[in-house]
Amino acid sequence: MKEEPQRHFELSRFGEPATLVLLALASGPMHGYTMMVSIEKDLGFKLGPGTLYGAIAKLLKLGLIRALESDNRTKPYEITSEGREALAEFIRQWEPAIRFGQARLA
Amino acid sequence: MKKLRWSALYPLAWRKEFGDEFDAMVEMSGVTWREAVDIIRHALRLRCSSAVRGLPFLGAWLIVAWLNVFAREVQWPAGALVLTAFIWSIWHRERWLRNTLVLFCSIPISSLYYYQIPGIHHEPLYKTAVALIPAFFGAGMGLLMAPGKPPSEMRKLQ
Repeated sequence: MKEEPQRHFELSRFGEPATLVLLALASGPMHGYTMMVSIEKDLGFKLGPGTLYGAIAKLLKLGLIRALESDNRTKPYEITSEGREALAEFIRQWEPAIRFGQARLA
Repeated sequence: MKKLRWSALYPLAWRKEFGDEFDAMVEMSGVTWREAVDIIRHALRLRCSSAVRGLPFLGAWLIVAWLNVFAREVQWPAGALVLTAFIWSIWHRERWLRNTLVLFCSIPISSLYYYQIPGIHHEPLYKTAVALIPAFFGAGMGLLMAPGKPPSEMRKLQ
């Protein structure tokens, strides 16, 4: 039975693959391979195929991303408004901690 | 030689949803030993979680088998079959037929004990025939009660 999208999201640990996928998709729809390349090139994290698709499945279940129609084997995904909201909330939560850390290390 | 499909390592439900695109992505990116370990690790994790989800069903199966061996009356296993098939069809309506048949198999398999344990005097074949009716009855009722899609749409899922 398919689970209902959850209202309250928990993106959990910083650097978690699901967060990286949301960050990549924030710039526009992508399929698995372009997502993997973007995460490595833009964010500096290398995700394996299993980890990436584990994150995609989790985000689909939470309703934070959606699959788009495709004519070929590669299926693009896009971030939903709930996904944007969850990502913005995650960044808001971590921003002070990152600023604090940067100030302490400076 | 047939090309290796990495998605074959994953459970069927996952393959149906992501199999093709996953293989396409792996073909594009290529697989080093590091990626292979990552794929195998996640596939194993999913396989294990599928197995854990099957544990309640295994429990129900064992209870029905146990009842068949030890219950004096046929009503007990029949009642257990109705209830288990009913609940199972509500929760996993797309697998109702397979689950009902597997559940039904607990009757003849458990009846093997009939020939090994002295002092148990049941009629396993009789029970086997009778058990088919409540198992399907329970599954049918469960399907009718299943929220969401009507039974006509259920057939497409088989």
